[in-house]
Amino acid sequence: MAIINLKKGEVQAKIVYYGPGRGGKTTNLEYIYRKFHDRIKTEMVTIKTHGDRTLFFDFLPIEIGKIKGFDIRIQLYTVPGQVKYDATRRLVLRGVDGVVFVADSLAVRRKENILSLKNLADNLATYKKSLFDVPMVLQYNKRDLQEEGIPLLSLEALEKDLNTRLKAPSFEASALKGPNVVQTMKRIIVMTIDSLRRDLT
Amino acid sequence: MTEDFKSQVESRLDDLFHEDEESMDSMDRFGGVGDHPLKGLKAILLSIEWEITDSSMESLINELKTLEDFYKDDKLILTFLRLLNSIARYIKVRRGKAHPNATSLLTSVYNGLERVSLSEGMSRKEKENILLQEVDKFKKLKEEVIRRKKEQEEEETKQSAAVALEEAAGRLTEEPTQPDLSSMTTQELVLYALEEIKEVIREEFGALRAEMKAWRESR
Repeated sequence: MAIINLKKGEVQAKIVYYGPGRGGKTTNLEYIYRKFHDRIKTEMVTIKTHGDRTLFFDFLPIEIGKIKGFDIRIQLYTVPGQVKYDATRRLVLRGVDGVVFVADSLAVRRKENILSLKNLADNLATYKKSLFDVPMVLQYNKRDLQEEGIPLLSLEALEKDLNTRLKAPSFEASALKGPNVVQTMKRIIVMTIDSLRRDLT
Repeated sequence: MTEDFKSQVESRLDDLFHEDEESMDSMDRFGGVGDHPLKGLKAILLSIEWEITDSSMESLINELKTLEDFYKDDKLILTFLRLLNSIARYIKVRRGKAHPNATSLLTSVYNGLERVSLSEGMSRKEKENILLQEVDKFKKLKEEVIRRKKEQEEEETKQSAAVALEEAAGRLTEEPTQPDLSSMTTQELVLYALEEIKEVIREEFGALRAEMKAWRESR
């Protein structure tokens, strides 16, 4: 749940990067942190486990600054993608204001993408929310691997599998190399802030 | 808050995250292995699941074998491939128990190999330096694996010694049940004493074995 303090003029929103394990959620945040560390002036917190996987979550706060008297703060989180950490995912989703679903474009990961989106829906349901209530952006990650001759899911297949009903904005991206990582983040921040604004009015 | 607020957020985000942005159009700038012989190896490395399976590691080892034949006359590349092979075999055997840095070393050695193979105009000396860095990392990992193994074994020894001590302590506390020696016949006393001596000898041998094992491992 966003923290909105009209008296103090503060808005704090929580955005969660969700998706299957090894899909690139942490890499998204790492890219943002690496590239813009000097500007956002905050530290990224990450807890990794055996094999370099996310154990609990990653956390990157971003200070947007004052806009029309409101101090805007965004908190970016990732969840651990592996199936066994469902309880942690559910906890991280508590009070979420916006979601980036990072899908893995590798052809072999098709089933994992679908299962992860379903898992997101199930976990949101525990907070009495649905995929359609929360601002969401889809990111089809690892598109750069196309050049390596690695079999990828087509954009059409990804849209059909994940976005037929959602109709959420989607970006093809490479979290490792950068294309559309920032665009994805900017889009979800704007959508989330806009959604909070509409809730208030 | 109004629509104007939204556009101001967009504008602030543009200010914060400008210039370094890259669009998908810029993707073709990124180098890649294209039709290079390393293409298959890179594809396998990228496709390896977090849950390391026998089949993915088998594919990796087979691909490395093919490349070792292909590069048999290039000692530098061959050394990279052999490093990868050793790490892959270690991960295959140890799987979930492999050292956490093993998979990242696999990626690091591959990246070194790709740089050496694809960088046009790189001098032999530079290539050797990259290889040496990876060899150093490999040696460090090997030392770390040996150290961890030793620590684990020492821990196990300590634990088994602690269990033996606890058992002995348990026996001692349980044995206020010491029989009334004064009521025993001479024969019963001898038998009881014999049992005690046997127990002491057993414990002494157990402690000696543990000590010898620890001594051997420390050499």
